Amino acid sequence: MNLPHLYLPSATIDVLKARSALIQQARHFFLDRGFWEVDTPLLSAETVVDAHIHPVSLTIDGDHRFLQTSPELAMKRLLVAGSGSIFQFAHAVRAGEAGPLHNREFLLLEWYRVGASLWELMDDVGKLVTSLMQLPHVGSASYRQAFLQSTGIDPLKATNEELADRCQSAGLSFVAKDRDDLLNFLWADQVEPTLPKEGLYFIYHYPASQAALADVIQDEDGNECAERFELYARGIELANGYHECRDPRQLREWFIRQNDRRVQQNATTLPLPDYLLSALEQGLPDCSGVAVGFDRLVMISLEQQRLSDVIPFPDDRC
Amino acid sequence: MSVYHTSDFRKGLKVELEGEPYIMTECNFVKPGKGQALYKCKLKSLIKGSVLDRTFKSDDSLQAADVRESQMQYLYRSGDNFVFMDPDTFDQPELTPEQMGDTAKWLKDGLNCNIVFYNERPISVDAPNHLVLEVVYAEPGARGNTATNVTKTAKVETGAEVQVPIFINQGDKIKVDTRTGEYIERVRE
Repeated sequence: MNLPHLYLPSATIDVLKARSALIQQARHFFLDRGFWEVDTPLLSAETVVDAHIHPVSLTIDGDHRFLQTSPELAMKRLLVAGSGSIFQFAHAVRAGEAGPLHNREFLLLEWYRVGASLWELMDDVGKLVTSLMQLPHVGSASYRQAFLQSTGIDPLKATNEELADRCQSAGLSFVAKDRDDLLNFLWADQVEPTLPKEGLYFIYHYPASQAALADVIQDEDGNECAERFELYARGIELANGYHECRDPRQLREWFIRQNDRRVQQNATTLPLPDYLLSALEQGLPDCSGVAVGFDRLVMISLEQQRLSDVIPFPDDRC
Repeated sequence: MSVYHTSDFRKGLKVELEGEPYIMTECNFVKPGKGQALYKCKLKSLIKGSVLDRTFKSDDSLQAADVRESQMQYLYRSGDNFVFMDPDTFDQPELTPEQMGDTAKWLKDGLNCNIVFYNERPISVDAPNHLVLEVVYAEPGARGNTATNVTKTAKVETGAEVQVPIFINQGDKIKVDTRTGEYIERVRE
């Protein structure tokens, strides 16, 4: 028998030491800038309600709990309580995400800077990431520009039929009815592969229907858009950030809509996050926040190929 | 009939799509931004050899294709068709020229070939990767020209034409790669 030694870590000790050094370096980056490190629970009665993020739910001593899919809700409750700018290294768990660039349990580096605009936050992300890896900043584009350039389709103006036709000719095996599902497929299939591979590239101003917990504004052409960005490093999605929405009514509606989409795809509905919504009634300070997939950051920084090269015990051996 | 769910998807899986057998040659998990989880696959037709791009969502599934391969001996030509024999069961399947495809030009009596069956019907056949064949016709090479990068056309005993170096003569035995149809080397007995 030639069984792999699954009791051993999949990453080498040298890589794990380099990973630890990157974590320490990132800590100093924030401490030097006046942030403090928080540490919020992994188990909570509420979780982010999103059509395509699937939390693990469990019962502990008779109480229903979710393993957190990100520390976002708890960190916002701290911001409402007057924490000021905070950061956290948090393990997060999402069901159904497995592949060379996904592990169901992963490490997020998430932070919130009080008073920062979306642009200031993007600047911070660029500074942090370039302090941890040798990659040039190669540019940025709005979601609409990037989409138009790669597909010739205007994501704000195209009809659902046009999007569905393009999806079908590109090999989507099912008929997606949801406009954002169509856009997301085309994004993954035709836009992402054309993003620059040599460095850092920012995509900003997502369609308002993909705002998640970001604020919605009008862009320079008067179209509604989300104050949300993503950072791609070597063409790999690395970070997702928002200028945060502070309106509890808008967020409540967003969560309800996400639950409707969950019902359409036969996923369980999730409880509305009442602690978060009550905190927002109290008033979230103007802030921007971002989550960086830290395992991916380590992978790219150390020039490794897959997450299992930088995680000690990935899904297949833990 | 068994079913593969997206979580079972991997390279090498033989699946059925629109009534035809395919082999999965690539499968990548992608989850863009706030989008749904998708499996981007490349599927190669076991009949035509053409490649399809197909993307599935996480609750999709595909039927397993009932595909088996077996080693069979070539016996003889029957009209347009080619008759093989299973050395274990003595079954004698007949393959049409379409099913034989390019492999027909490498056949000689007794050759062991790999036949792929889909729903118990033969769909394709492969000759061994390397064959040693006798050259039955070659233009005479110009005396003294020993350059190895100059080639000429030679005909081998099975009827196939192969590009060979200039020094190969009628009656020589040569080794060819049946997948590419290329000359590999001269074989001395």
